[in-house]
Amino acid sequence: MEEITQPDISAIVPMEIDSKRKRRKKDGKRSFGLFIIFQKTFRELLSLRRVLSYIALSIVFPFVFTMIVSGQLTGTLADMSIDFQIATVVNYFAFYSFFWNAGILLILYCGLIASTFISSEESGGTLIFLLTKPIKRTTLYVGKFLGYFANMAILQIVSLMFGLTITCTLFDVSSAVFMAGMKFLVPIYLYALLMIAVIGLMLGFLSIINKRMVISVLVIMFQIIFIYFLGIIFRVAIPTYYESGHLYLIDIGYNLSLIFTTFLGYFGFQPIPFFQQNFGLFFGTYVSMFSDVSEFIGSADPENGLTFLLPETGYINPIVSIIVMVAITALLFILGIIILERKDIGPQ
Amino acid sequence: MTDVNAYHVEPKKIDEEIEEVEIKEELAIQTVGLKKHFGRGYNLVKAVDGINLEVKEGEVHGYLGPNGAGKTTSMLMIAGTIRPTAGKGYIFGKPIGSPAANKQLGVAIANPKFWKTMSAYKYLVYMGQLHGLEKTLAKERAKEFLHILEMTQHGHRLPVAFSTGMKAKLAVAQALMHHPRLAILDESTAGLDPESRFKLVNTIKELADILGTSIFVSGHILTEIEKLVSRVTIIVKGKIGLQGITLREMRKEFSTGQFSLECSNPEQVMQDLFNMGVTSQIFMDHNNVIIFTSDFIDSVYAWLPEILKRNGAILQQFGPLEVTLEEVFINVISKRYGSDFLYEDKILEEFQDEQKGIFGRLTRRSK
Repeated sequence: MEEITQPDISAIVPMEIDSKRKRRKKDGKRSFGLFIIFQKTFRELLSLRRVLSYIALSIVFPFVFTMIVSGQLTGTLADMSIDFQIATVVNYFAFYSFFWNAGILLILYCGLIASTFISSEESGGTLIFLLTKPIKRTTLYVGKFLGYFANMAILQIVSLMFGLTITCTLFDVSSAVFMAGMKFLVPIYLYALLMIAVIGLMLGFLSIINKRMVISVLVIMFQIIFIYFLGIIFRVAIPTYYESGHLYLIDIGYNLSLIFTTFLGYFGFQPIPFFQQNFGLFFGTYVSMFSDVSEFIGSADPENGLTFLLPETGYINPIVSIIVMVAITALLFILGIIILERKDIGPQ
Repeated sequence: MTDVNAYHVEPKKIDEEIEEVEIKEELAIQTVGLKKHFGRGYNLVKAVDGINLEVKEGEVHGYLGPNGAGKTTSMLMIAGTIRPTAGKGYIFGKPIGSPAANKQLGVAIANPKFWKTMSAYKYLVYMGQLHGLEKTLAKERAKEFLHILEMTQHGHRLPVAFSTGMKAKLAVAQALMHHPRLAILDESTAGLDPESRFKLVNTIKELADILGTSIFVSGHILTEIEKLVSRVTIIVKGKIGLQGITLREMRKEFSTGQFSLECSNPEQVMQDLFNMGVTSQIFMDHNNVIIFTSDFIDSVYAWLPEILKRNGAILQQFGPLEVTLEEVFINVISKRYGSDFLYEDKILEEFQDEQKGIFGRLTRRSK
């Protein structure tokens, strides 16, 4: 802790007495508001308690998941071919990452942070002081967002690294498999970064228009349900109408899984049946048992047995999904800035 | 208190005369037709209704008004945290709410709030940096101001655990630490005990003198404001009641024509003065000071030594009775809105009770 010493009072020189040049020399390099806000937000979010709880939670799910699936494998994975080992590890890693590390956990944490960007300052009565400083409201908002983004980006890479390490350790595979898995960490991380940005800006908008924490939590919970569980309800309850009624257009889970698999596809990802069945079941990315698979089964190669590969449903071009998501986020960002600029902040 | 987050009315078309206003860069604050309306229709509240303010550079300007007059709203509009419904405002010629205006500004409000995880010292450094001070300089200034405000030993404590007085001091420190050209202090001494108030007011005055900072200050303790300010503006119901008048002008304008005489043996001296027939409305107040008015004050001055000598009295003080800021304040409000205005809340309460009928009467009886 820095010691606060008593200053030399003779050094207190009124600004007006100094000449302009002397003042500039004395003041030295000026601080930038954006960087100062970024720095404070970043440091605050990097508290030990937050980091440890995030890492702990990001380990639990991969650990339990890998334990369960490793128990279901016939034989030891390490005894199988290296390609099979890599495919298994990478597919399981990608699956739980989409569900948990870059999914529910990320949305929960990002949502809780982003939904208090402005509202916590406002309800805490500190926003009024920030607004009297020579920084634009937009700068304040962007600085907070960048601090959050940098923080979550670091936590996320650590979380994914831990996940992959746990999976490789529990499967008892060689370091070569781990290194091959690292290659696929890149697209998963890119997807996570996209999610951090999107959730940050969407919930950041909420923080501008809403001060109540209860509403923020409800919105986050609703978002998780909407992404992960609404699609499966649609496909089970109304399987034919899902396609004919173009419900996939509003199925965020489907659109996100499409983006996720597209990112993985760019890095040469080969999905195994487990991945396809579950992604098909939960998100409709692949033709699953809830879709009409008779045509596909009829054309399947009997030599493949049960390990046949499912085709993608391909309702939407993934590029369109990305563009729409980015456009909605950008729109909310701009709208948030406009509302924030016009907002009246009084004493609490 | 007015809910500043209520829906505000869409800005109306600004009058042509406001459009053509001459921006005076030498003025610390200049507002033209500044308005802030909350709500709409039946719920419309005109918190500030077209105020024209002028605060000169280097002066300490008092801003007074009863509760709900629009002081805080107008001060926060100037500070840039509340957006005006209409009108314009400038700080040294820069539009209010812009970073250029805020750069020259320091603001402290009543009952300030702080972050729960940041020590007082770090808070000041952070605030200084937000004002553009380089980190080393911000640290120096933070130490300076903690020392000036006698808080050095509390620098590493969390301000949320501070007393009201220390919180107020910290808010003033963050408002002045970057040596602003203008400081807006909205009831910065609210909630403080008299001793702390006295100290803080003196410190503010000294700092303002040293730094050459113009101060725009509001407060409820008028005797305290009187010590601090050189000019005052009174706002009532969102409108200016008395515009930027100096204390001397104020005393002259609101003078009651009364004189006060403080001496020993006041009873006999008062009797002699009364018998002379040159005074009217002569009486003694509760401090045994003789108060009187006179149309022949020269005669009083001439005969007073003789009267004192005759009664064996010693003169302690004699002169025109100075009108206090509080008296001016009540005078302005009573003139403009009637003498009941200051007691409006009480009247409203009684009226509401009466409206409640028998239930209201029963409630009053039970009280």
